[in-house]
Amino acid sequence: MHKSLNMTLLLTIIFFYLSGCSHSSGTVIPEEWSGQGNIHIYKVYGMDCPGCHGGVEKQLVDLDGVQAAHADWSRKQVAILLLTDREVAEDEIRAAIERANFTPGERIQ
Amino acid sequence: MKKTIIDNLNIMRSLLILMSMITLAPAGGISVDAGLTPAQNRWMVRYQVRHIKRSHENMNPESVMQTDMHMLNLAYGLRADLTIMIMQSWMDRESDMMNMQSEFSGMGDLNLMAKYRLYRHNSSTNTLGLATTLCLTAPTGEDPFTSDYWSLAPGFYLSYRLNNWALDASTNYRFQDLLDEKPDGFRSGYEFSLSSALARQLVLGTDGRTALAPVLELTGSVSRNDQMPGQAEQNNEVLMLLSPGLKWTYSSLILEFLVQIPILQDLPEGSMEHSPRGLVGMRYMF
Repeated sequence: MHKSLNMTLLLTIIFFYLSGCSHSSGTVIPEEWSGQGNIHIYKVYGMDCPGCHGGVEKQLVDLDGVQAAHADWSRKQVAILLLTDREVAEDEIRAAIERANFTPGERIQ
Repeated sequence: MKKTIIDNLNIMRSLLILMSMITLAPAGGISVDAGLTPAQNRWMVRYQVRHIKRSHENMNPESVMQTDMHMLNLAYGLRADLTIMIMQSWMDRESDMMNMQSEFSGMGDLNLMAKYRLYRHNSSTNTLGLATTLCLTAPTGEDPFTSDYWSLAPGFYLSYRLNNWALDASTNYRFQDLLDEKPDGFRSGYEFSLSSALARQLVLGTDGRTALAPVLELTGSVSRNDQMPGQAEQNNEVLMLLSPGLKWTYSSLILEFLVQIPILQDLPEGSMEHSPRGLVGMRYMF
């Protein structure tokens, strides 16, 4: 039993050591979107891992007029590529983000 | 032995206080089914294998029972605040009791679950949420892996995120023998569990699609088997596990690994002791 406890203590220390800092840099807009102008970027609150991306992207892509969406949980942003010459009401975008259980923040682009 | 249990209880108490000071919630869990409801119309498939070993080390010859539990879980976001789940397990058990070997394989009971989000608040730095769950277990499994009765387990999940830290807690209470007529003097068994998980997401790469999360879980349960009339009084079984693990996420795919170390076990007389357990799992969301 003591051996187990010692191992547990060691693993706990490793856990906190591994829990160093993480960072994010660059932009939420994917490279393949370069040159395409109709892009909106929103702040999104509540995403906590890469697994959250699919949920919000799926809701946004289902909107009429949205060609693609790309979320980044570490930047707390989602980029939305609209079809050429199309606009999507901001309310619709916000409602889609909420259906993914997240909270839309300000539009930053 | 008694002193060891008291020592372990003191350590457990300290850890519980420490964890409650750090936070209140879960969501980075692996064995702790943490987190809130997923997005509307989103599916999640989860497969886990748990290796469980119990033994009588003090007996001569030693008695050992090893079980591999394969669990397949399918969840669907019916609404943003309501998730339904179905879970089926398949077991493979080998035992060696006093030099008598035996092997059993078969299906476990079917579990139907629903999770309803009661509260969720997202801000730029943290997320706090509360969900309630109800799990119905149907006795559809094969002998000896079925419980032979219907049971219902209501529970709660609390989830807290602070920057890249995740803290989750869950609790549930299982009511056994819901539908069966019980003879006079029958005492229903029960199971109460309280679990917590602390995790930290580490971003790998620059595209934000990959993350590695060290996870530390603390789980505890108190349970008692059914007691038939005239049967000797059953004691509670108390089990606490401290579980370090790792979770690797790439987009919608999650791979997870956990070692569950028993740090406290107060068992009814004659019960086999729990050894450290292993857990390997995979989740995919679409």
